[in-house]
Amino acid sequence: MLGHLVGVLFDGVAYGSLLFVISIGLSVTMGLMNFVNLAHGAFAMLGGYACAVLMTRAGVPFLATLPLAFAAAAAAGIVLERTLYQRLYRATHLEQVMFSIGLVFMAVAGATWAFGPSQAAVRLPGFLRGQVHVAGLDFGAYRVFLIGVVVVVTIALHLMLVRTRFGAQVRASVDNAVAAAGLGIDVNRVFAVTFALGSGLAGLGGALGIDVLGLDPTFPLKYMVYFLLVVAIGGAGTIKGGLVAAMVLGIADVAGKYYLPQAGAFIIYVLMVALMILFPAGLYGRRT
Amino acid sequence: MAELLAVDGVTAGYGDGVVLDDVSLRLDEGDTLALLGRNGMGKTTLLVTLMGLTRLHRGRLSWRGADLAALPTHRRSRAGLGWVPQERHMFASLTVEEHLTAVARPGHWNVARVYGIFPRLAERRTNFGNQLSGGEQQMLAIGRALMVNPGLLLLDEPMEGLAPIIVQELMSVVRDLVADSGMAVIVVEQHAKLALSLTRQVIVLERGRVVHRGASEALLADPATLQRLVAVS
Ligand SMILES: Nc1ncnc2c1ncn2[C@@H]1O[C@H](COP(=O)(O)OP(=O)(O)O)[C@@H](O)[C@H]1O
Ligand SMILES: [Mg+2]
Repeated sequence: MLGHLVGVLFDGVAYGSLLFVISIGLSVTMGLMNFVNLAHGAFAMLGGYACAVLMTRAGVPFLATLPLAFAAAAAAGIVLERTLYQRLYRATHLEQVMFSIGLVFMAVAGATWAFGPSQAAVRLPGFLRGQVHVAGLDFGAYRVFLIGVVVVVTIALHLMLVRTRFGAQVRASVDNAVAAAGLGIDVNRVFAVTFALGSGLAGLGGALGIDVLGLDPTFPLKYMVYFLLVVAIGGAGTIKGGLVAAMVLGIADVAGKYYLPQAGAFIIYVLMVALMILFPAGLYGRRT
Repeated sequence: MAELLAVDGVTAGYGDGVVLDDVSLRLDEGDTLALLGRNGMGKTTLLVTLMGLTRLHRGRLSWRGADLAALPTHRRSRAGLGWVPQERHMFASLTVEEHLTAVARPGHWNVARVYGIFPRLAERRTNFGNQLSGGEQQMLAIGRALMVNPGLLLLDEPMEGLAPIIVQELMSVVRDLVADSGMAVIVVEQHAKLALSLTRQVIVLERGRVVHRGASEALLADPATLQRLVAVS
């Protein structure tokens, strides 16, 4: 019984870690530019396919594909931000939603054309398959690895945001874009770099998630709500909020499906409604 | 002295609305200007127009001979405009020290020199922008603007809402800055006499138009005119 509970918590944290890596870029860019980007999951899908293609067609080892998945999604982020997204910063939310949902449909169609409609699969290296035994309990080796990667990414991201001048400029721009610009910070450039970083992390998450979330061309649609929930519950523009929200969602989703299979995927929506009533601006969001 | 800033026939406002109507002024390097007028007359609007935060309907802004209006806001700061906003605009998630380092540009002013004139900020270096008293916020707003090493400091009601004791503390620093730093300064202030005592020239705005311009000393010596121009009726 206790073993089950630990197992569910562990799986929930692993799942939440994945949600966090994929969603954090969305949270920061929504907080920074107040931009509603429904196509964020498309960058995750791109990272996933980069990983799958590199492994199956070029024989690149799994671990080596991860930085490449990051780079591919970040590069796509830079190109789309400069060519398309930046034109809509001052547009209404409705226009941003229409634009980014259009990008989602194009991504779905493009991926179907390029990779076919079926699930992509990757064969994880041997040391990531099987179980790890700790204190009489079994943990999936891959989930341990996932949590490890997310811990490293989160610490790196935190240090960048808290210890560097660029990080301070990002926070200043989120806090007050007008004052930041008035003091010489190029808010658009800060945003472009942040957008690329967030897209890259989504790509990394997409690659890491193939074995957990699956990967097919409908990925950006299927998980859109999860990514948006992380932002809505955590509050836009905060890493801490995104992390806590992703963990809460991950654990609630896994626990719900395990203990209350009849309610299944419905649990997280109940949770969202409850949390949004209690914290209208998100757990760590600021009211504007 | 070389011309630093020229505002020529500027009509500007928010969106389609017009607040400033045909405003002109000229400022040399190192020169000091008091910008006076009752509440809502357009003083802040003039400063934020210099920063590129309003819509410029007509007129020219030039900075060291170049077109200022063509630059986006952050490039105006980098060109040498040191903005101390009336609302102070603290960054809630930056520490005091980060307020200074995040905007720092090379020049005379650095973190040590800012702490030198505002020792309180050094004591508060690890506090966040939303954990400061009003006086500390104002010191930080000024220190932060100095960190961009501006050629022109824009002080928008720096004493507003502060306790008298803090006003005195801040005043002596501002007085030294205006007198000795070599920077040009535009100071907006409700205490007209205080602003006049700090500056060489003065402009008075009324409903977005310039209704008086001259030497600060002369206006200070003419209480009747001063009363008519800026006293709350
Ligand atoms: N953001 C804004 N949008 C629209 N109107 C504004 C805004 N800020 C100020 N105003 C209007 O512009 C006029 C001048 O305001 P302001 O420049 O702030 O005056 P002052 O600084 O002299 O007190 C006022 O009528 C005010 O209501
Ligand atoms: Mg004002």
